[in-house]
Amino acid sequence: MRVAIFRTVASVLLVVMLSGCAQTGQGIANNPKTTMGGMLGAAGGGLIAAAAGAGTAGIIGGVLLGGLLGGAVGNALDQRDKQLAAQNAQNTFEHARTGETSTWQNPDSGHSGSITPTNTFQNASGQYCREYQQTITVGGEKHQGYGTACRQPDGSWKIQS
Amino acid sequence: MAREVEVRSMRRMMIAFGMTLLSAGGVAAQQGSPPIQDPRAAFAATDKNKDGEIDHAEFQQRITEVFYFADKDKDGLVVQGELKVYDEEDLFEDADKNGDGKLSLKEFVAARFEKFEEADTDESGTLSIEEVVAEFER
Repeated sequence: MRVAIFRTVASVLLVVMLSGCAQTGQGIANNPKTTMGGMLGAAGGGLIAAAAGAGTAGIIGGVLLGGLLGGAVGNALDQRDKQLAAQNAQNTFEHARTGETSTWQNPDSGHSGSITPTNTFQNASGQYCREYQQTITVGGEKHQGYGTACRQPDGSWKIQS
Repeated sequence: MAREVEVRSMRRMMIAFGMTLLSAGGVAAQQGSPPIQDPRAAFAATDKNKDGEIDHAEFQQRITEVFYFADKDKDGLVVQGELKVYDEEDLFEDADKNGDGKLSLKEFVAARFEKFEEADTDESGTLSIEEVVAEFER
């Protein structure tokens, strides 16, 4: 129980500092509600994973996916979707070249997604970071997002913006 | 004698540069997709805005990625042997400005930009496909 509370609080603190950017349908500029949902969505993702009793991978998955987990997209994805998306993202950030798209698909839910690194750089702290674009398809509708993830000392990747 | 050594060193450097100006083939150990060996393919992959020229920002993005994939343990440093372009000890030492036996990204970028300037034969500040292919074929 204590562990679950700690994880939840940690997720909230983490995603307050680290938020993703998301763009759906009409785009950020034309849809402030979506933008807000996206900004808060990363926290929602982390909380959902913790509340569902997911392990660290689930929480990281929620945080990692950033803004795309906000609103309808986040609610539509099940735990397995998030796990597949997170694994795909981690693997892509670590190994894929810029412009190389990696995909995931959950045959049970019918949901799928892709992620493409668009730039690689070192931040001021010397961490490797990668800008990316991602797509999640739910119910035949494509939702696009973008952001930056940086490599942590333990080898995991976290969304920075 | 010294002049001969210098010329040999320069020649090796230019060959290495021509092979790896843009190509991820300069990385000794590859992960992910196969390395790009064709200079035209490497050019196309580097020229992000597709204006037919590689500018400094595009070049820096490219060589940063080459460095990232060469850095096996992801500690921000590469040692000799991880980057094929610096297989030659003297070339590695030339780039290793602080002499710690490892190359930081900053040192690698600085060394590569020296080569960028050499390849930019028309001094336009950008690299054309002709300039890149000329370096590959040199």
